[in-house]
Amino acid sequence: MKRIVRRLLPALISAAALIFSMAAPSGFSLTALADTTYSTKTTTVTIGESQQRNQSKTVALSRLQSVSSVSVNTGSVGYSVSGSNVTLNVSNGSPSRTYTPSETATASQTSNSNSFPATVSYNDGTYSGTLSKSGGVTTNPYANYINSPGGYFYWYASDTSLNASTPPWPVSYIGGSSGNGYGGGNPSDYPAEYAHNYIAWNGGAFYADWAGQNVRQVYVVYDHYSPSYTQGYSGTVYAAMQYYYTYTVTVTYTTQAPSISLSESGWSSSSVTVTAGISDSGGIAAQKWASGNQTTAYFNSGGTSFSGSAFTVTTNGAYTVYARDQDGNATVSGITVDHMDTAPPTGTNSLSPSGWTNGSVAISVTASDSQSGVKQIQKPDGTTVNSSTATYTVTSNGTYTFTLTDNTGNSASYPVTVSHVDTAPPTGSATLSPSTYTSHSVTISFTGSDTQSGVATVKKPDGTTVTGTTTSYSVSTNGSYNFTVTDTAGNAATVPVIVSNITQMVSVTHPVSAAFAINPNASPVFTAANIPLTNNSLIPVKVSVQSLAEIAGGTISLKDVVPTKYSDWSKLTALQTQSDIALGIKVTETSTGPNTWSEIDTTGPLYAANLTAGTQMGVLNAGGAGNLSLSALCGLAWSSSYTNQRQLTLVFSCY
Amino acid sequence: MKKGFKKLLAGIVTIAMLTLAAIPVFAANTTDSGTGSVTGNVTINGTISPLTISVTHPINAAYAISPDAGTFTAPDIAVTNNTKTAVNVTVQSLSASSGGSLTFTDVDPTAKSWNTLSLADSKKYIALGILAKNSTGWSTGYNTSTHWAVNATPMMVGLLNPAATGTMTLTADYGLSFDGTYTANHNLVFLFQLA
Repeated sequence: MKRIVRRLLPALISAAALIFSMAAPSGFSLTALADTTYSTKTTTVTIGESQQRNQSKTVALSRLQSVSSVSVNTGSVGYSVSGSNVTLNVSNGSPSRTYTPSETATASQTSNSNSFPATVSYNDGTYSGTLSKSGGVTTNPYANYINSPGGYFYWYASDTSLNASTPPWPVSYIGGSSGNGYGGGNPSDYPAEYAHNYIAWNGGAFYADWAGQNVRQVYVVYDHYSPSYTQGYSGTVYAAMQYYYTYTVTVTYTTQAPSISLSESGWSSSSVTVTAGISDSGGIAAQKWASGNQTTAYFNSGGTSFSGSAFTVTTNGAYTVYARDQDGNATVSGITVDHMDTAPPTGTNSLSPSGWTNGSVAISVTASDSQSGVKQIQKPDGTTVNSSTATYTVTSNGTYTFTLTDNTGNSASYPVTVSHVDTAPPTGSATLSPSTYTSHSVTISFTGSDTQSGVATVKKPDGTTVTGTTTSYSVSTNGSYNFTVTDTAGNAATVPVIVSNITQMVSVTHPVSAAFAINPNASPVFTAANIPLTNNSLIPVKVSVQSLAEIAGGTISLKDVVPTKYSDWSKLTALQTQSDIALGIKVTETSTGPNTWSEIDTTGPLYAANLTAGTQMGVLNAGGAGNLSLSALCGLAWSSSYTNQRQLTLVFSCY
Repeated sequence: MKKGFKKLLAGIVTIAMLTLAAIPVFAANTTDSGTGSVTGNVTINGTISPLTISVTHPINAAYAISPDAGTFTAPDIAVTNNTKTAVNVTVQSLSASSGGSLTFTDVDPTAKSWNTLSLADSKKYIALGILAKNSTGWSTGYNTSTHWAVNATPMMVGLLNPAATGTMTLTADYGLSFDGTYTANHNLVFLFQLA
């Protein structure tokens, strides 16, 4: 048996598969497997003898799938298919036989004269030949038969069965189609002469009514005015040669393959039953299934036979069902089983608010299951909702576990972590600049901190609010200054900052008197002990000289002069020596330090003659000690011992 | 014949030694306290010592009168100022003193006719003077006059700068009638003063 396998183009397969997939929203999809194997059948159709060279014949082929081929024993053949009917069109065949028909034909000639030829030709369009006179001449008083319109005629009518009446024939009514002249009135009034007076026949049909019968056709009209002589003729005439055709057509065709309709059972986590509706009017010879997309050839040796209309599978995927009918037609159909659902639902969540809060947080969980769908969500408190969404409100951070269950029974824990609930107030710390005692303002550098949501704003003691973690605030008096820290979640805390290092209390210890000595015989001539200063204050103190001037009480009065008054003080006369002196004062130390001066402004002598009240000598650190020292330029010519008294006035002020 | 000289200086040196020992001594401390600014007073007590005058000079000088030769010879008297400052050199006094075989009476050089003086007057009168020998060592403006012993008024010779040495010399008018060898003494007193 010749087998024809028809395969669709792969592109069509894909397109069809897509269409099926989209058209199966109920949970399974069918796969259009384009592999059907057909067995061919042959039938012979005889198109009976006919003079028609081109003939058609329609034959019904049961369960016709398609016509594979058509052949004919002669000529050519074409065909068309409509359902299970195949119309065969044969043509141009050779005649199967020929035949020349003959008959005895009669004819007559009518003439106004009684003179007729011995023979007349006969040709009725089918038969033709020569007729010889037959019988004698007859006279016809009713004119000649006319064949063409025009004029006035007697009429002769017959019924439609050509049952002629004998004219004149009682006709109750005669009429004609529009445009034809016809007479009117009662025909009985014109038994013989009726027509010639009234009929003006232009061709076409006449209509007559008589004997209670309607619509009879007038066939023959005779010329009333042309009485004639009629000679009959007869003879054998022959028609044209006839050709007879007989065709034998061989039709090769295939019958319909089995049909397979597949469906799968509902969602299951264990097995899915595939229902295979297989039908074939010719009966099923074999039915199998196999996993994957298979061809019919696969099932020649592969596949699993099953009986009945269902089989069971345990995994999702493509399956192929195969069926072969009694004719040997085989086909496959695919199904994608996707009702095996072993995957639990998945979840997404949203938190409201999503940002930091010091209140509650609503957890909205949305479960999704692409297979059997979501059945329910169990909330962390154990309650369940039969929905794919659930909302659960919490007031503290933590991990909250929801249980998502699909319609197959698969379930999964879905933990949601909430970590943006912040109910703890922020804290803050501050540093003071300077952190040591000062007579000036103190800058408070404040830093808020919050380990969770973070610091949002800091409100200063003056009520202004700054965004961010840090701010600074300057104060000039001791006291407690409140900073209010607010975190992102809205928690607020007031943090007092104590400032107690501002002071303007000055306390300096110094000698009540100091001595200098001028000994012109010694070197150096001028000696003076340091004037120690100890700053007992908590803050640095500025040391200034208000005055350095002679006071009463000495045995000699010496005038303070500028040191440049004499170019060489060693050459002063006794009078000059005992009149002038350039007495100066300076800071003894030459370098600063934490325990002494923080600033030295007068490293050279500040002479009394040049002194401006309030001249700053330096700054003593808090708790620091430093020295002032006297120096002098003086003459040597001291003729006697003297005493001289002066007063040094120092000013100690906040720095 | 030689005459002896003495000087007058001891009192001044003693004073200078006492002032060198003076040392400044501090008094007690005080603490000044207040708000913002306080004033502290320190009394400065100055002690001034006198300058020691130091001059080097010979403690005696001998002169000789030779009547036969008609000469009066005497060594230079050099005075060196060791003081830190300049000092004025004054001949405070030059007067005859006892202790020799003769004791002259100082007279003005114009008071006698020295070449005709008798033995007795030669042994009694002399006009002895002292003067700067030259300008060396002396500051400009030194005194070129002669201080005669008969004059009681001191005579400043000149200013000696520190480390400078000025030279003085003796001069005399005298008689020639000496009948033997005699000795006579004069005291020469300098006054050194701070300039």
